[in-house]
Amino acid sequence: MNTRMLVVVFAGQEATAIQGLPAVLATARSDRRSVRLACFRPLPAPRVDRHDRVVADCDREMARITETTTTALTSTLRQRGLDPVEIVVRFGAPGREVLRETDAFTPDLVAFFAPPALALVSRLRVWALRRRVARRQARLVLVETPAVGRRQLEATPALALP
Amino acid sequence: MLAGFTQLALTTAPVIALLVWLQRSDRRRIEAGQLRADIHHAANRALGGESLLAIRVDHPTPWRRGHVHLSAPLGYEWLVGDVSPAVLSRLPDRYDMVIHCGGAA
Repeated sequence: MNTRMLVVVFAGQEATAIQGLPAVLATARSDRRSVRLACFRPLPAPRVDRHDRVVADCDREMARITETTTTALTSTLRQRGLDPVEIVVRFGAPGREVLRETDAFTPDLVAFFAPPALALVSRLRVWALRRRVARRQARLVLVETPAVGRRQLEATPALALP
Repeated sequence: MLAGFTQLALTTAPVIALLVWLQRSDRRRIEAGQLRADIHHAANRALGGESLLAIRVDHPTPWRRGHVHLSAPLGYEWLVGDVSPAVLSRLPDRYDMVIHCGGAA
């Protein structure tokens, strides 16, 4: 049976995702599932120079961030000996985009990574989003990883995403 | 007469509500225990015996979905992979699977 799995990675969760991906991919590998790693990021502002002239508009910034994120995650997966997965980057309001991605990809499993322990507001948002995703007939997989400290994040250059 | 009944109902209602709530809570705990036993059995069959995989089941509440926690030590994530099809096939509708990873991979 070909089961589809969507792995949701919010902005700032890349290090957590890399930490928890072996377990998620082990889950996926056992049943020949198709896995999509979806990174959700806010809409970038146009890049301007010191004279306020637009150097790169929003579209070019999105293309740059997509390329950087995909390259960094692919190389990190390869370094850690993990199977390659489909990586997509979506821009906009994370909650709305996750629901759109869920509708478009129609996954059987949706994996979320636990948000940082102290971010109460983001925890509430993710909790509400999980409930909305669970109502769409998708089964949820939550991945809890040990807290990633700032020092550990800085020590991982491949995850220094824009 | 009516005042007496109202007084009796108002006095006994909190006690009855508490008893109903406790009964439902006990039933959910028993169901979670049965689910845990079922999943433990399925995991043992999938892995061919006892393993380092730890299984815990939190029963659902009106404000929270039930959770089936699977914990594997660092470097043993494949245990989760091997048992996940069996676990997912046995997971009731109101439950989610929670994977606990070890330290830094």
